Amino acid sequence: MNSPTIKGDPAGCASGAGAAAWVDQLTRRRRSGPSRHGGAADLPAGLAASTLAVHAGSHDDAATGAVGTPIYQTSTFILGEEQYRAVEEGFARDRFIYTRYGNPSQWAVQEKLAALEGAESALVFSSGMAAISASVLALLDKGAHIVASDELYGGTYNLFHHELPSLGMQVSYVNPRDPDAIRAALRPQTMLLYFEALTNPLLKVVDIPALAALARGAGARLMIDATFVTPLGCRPLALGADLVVHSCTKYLNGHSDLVAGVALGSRKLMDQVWPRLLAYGGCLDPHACFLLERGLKTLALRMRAHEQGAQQVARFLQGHARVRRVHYPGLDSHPDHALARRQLANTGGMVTFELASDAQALALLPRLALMREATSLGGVETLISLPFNTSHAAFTVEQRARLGIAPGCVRLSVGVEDPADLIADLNRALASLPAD
Amino acid sequence: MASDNRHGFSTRAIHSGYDPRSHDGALAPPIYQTATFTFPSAEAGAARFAGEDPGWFYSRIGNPTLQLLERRLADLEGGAAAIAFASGMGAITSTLWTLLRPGDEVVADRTLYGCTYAFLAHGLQAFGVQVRFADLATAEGLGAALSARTRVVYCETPANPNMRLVDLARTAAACKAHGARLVVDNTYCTPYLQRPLERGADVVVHSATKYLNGHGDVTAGVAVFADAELARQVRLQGLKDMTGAVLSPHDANLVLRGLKTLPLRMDRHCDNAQAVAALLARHPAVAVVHYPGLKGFAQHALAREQMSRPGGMVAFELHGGLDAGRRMLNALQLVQRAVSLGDAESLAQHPASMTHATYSAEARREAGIADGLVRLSAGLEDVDDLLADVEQALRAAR
Repeated sequence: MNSPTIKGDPAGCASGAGAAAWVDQLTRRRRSGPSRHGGAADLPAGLAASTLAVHAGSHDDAATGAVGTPIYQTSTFILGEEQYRAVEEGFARDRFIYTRYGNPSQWAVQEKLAALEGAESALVFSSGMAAISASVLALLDKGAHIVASDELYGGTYNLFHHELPSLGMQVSYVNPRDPDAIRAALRPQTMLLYFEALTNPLLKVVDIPALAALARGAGARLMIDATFVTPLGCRPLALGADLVVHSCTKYLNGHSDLVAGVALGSRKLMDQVWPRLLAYGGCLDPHACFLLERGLKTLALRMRAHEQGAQQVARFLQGHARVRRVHYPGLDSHPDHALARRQLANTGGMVTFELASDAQALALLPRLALMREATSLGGVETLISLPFNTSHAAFTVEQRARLGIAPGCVRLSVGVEDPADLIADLNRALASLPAD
Repeated sequence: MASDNRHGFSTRAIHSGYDPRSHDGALAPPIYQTATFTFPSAEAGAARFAGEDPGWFYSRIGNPTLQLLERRLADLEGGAAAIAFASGMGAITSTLWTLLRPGDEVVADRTLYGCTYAFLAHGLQAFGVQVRFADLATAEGLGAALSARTRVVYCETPANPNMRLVDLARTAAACKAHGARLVVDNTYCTPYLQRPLERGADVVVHSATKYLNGHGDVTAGVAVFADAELARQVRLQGLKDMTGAVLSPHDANLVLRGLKTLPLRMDRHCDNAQAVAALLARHPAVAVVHYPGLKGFAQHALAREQMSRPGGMVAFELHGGLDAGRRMLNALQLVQRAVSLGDAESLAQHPASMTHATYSAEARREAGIADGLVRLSAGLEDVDDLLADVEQALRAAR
């Protein structure tokens, strides 16, 4: 048999007979991607994040010269010898066969996300939860144990608390700020440490290098949900994490008009996640890929505006008599401020603050004219919600207190409106609050 | 409505004209991808056609997604009403065809986008409208061209491609005194940088393909009117019965999405263009740079007066003329060789052979479009990456 040219993985080209033997060579390095264009090698080296946000993955169409990626709104692709061979020899992820397996619109946005995150490979999903479930289950066996933050996004908590036990897996929940508790929770069966880079809603900063060291010592993988920080805030893979997930619905897309997720890591690891994407079926529609790719082009500009707006709003709230406490990692008063300065290049747009009571928090919302009362975050529009009746409604008062979620806790996703308008809106609403 | 004119520009670019409570609470506006609308009764349908009932009837005349875009743009430009079109040329032709009758005259600035020039120089003249091209950068240029039949004065500022400015307040005052309407193409600036209606213009037109949408993935246009009655006429004549250049609801939604980051993008475009212009101005291979933000720019004072920032477009000529310009274009790696402008990606092109090839060589000379002129649209990239690419291309062009 002649040595085939495997575009997606030339390292795997065997010489002479037994061309597919490379499948079992676990020590060899794999090429990043998949990519139609040679990936990052196609761009000049050393480009800054805002340039990558515009150009990475968004190659001009070779057939027509069209600037940017065409929308490949197709479910399937013509089969030829190359496609049959790709399936037979194990590089189907590097060929277009069927849109659940891979599609040029998916590859383009995956390449952009991977370039921003500094990852070899990325997979986009139909939601953040699809990315999380496929990634977590790719890393775990029956009997596995997870150590996870006790302050998790509710959807992730539901997966861990209700679904994983029925698959024979166990989860221990720990305070993400307490390294001793994390170490104590490790067991011989621990296969995964799972944390959010900034917690929801209290915006605790987790020490990713310290977690990576603990994971390495335990022979476990470290997975980070970096939704709240984005690659402009920090790149967990460079700090030692094995896998990063995002809800792209939030900052990455940034316009509150699609639902999507992404998982990023080494090519080897993502090749393990890919069969779960195929099996669980949470693939991203090509049109949503186009919108996400478009949204990413302004990510650097938006994150700077989110951070500047949040910093101003947080300072205003800190100086307001009706506000008991403000949680924002960009404020000196934040307990993790030193760690934030070390780990976060951008402290983001999420601000949490406390009024005197839940009743006051409830009274605040209808008094706001500009800020919208809605769940989700990371869009250009400022959103406001109360953890006690949304993300953490399933918790008892006592559980919330244990996590540090005080009565009167309000979560703000600061948009990119004029910060003066946001502060004026809050100021008017706070001034008209009845005394408790 | 959650936003009003007390709010800042960035806030209105996101919120103006949309209330989620009237759309099932959806934070992002729905896309009304429909050609037609049902009538509750035959009588109600008749009333809508007669203009007695404001209800929807057919998407070429009006569509809720387009209406949101139109209201938002009218708000941002400070106009009474706006109309969205399938392209900038659709906006221009629909507006001018509504305003003009055979025997009327138009005075237009001598430097215009190539297809606008072609429409005025050839298209309109075929319908018995006389067009005089004049130097509107000077008061005398306009004064000498006006006649008793002048109905419309038309200009771009900055002009595409050589960045000449027209004094909007002075030109608007002269038009008012003369009973002519001033139509200004504000594509290069967007309302974030310049609002001609506030300086007395009657109509603002845009290619929304450019900065307003900002992502190079939609062809669209808009006309914004100081007078709502004129907008109604253009909708019912120029758009409905003449050009039919209606925007698709899906594209209207993409433009609305693009507008939400308009202030962030324009600030970055301006930062990057200023840095590129400064690099070009001090580079030995460059003969001349046209950028309103340079102190040496002939109309720098006017730029400061009527533009809040100098914009994202730079035009320049190399000492080596056309050949050196072509070599430079071919050496660019990050900046894309393409017409259009205002995208996230930096774009560069050669006006004499591309966007302004509609001019004869002589007309180009009169319009002040040098054969060696290169036009660069500064994108949203990191400024150091952009400068590095321009610098290496200048080296390669030597």
